[in-house]
Amino acid sequence: MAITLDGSDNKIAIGANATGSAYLRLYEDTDNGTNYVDIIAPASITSNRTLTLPDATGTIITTASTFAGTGPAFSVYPNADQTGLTSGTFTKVAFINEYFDTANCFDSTTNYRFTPTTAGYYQLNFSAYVTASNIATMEPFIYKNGSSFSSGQYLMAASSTTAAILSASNILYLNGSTDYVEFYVFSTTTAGTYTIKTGAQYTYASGALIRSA
Amino acid sequence: MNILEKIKNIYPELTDADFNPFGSIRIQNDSDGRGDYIAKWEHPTLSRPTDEQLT
Repeated sequence: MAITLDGSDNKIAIGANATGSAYLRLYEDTDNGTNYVDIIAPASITSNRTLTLPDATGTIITTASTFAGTGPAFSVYPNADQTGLTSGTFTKVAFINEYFDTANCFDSTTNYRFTPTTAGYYQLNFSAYVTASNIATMEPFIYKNGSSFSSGQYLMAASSTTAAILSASNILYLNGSTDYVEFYVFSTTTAGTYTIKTGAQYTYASGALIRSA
Repeated sequence: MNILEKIKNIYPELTDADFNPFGSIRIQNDSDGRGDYIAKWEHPTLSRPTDEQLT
């Protein structure tokens, strides 16, 4: 085995032998013992490879690491019933209360929308609890940029149905700057208005980045 | 009278199916205090009512 220091070629090369491929051994603090980490080349390499370290401070993860993303995540719920809603209309759920909003990307005061600042693929979940004296239909919708993008179950209720809880979920790509999502309910009644009920375990929305762009 | 009822008065031939999620007309409320409004009008033959007709 040979170690080559070549300043003109800006590299340190560790040669291998017939016993095994080249590796770099790094020992732990001597106060803790004599264990080490080996950084080792594969025994057989199809062609020359390059591993580029990230331009960031942190710990490199491995396939055995427990990894949790650090992208935006939120969980919200309404603080009051939305009453007197017109049968046959789509109504945005006013999510005013936040369980969490890790990157302050959910507007819970004005537009009740999630506008993440990190581009990527987001898992979004929505559940809505609706009541009326007699529900005819109900359907929850996830809106993207002002238009319905995904619906959930579609309820065609039997007569005398006074309550329904339906949900919708999907994975959406959001560009991290202008894309936003909102949550709407469509419902019809045989007579009178409908209500989107509060109750954090029934009416809620949540989402998180699950894959980078 | 709400906006949906006004539209049905103007066009009695419209049915609930025209306003459901699969229909050509969408009445929406953005919970911003401005109430119901026409968010989509894609009816193949009937023209969108004017604001004057809906007041």
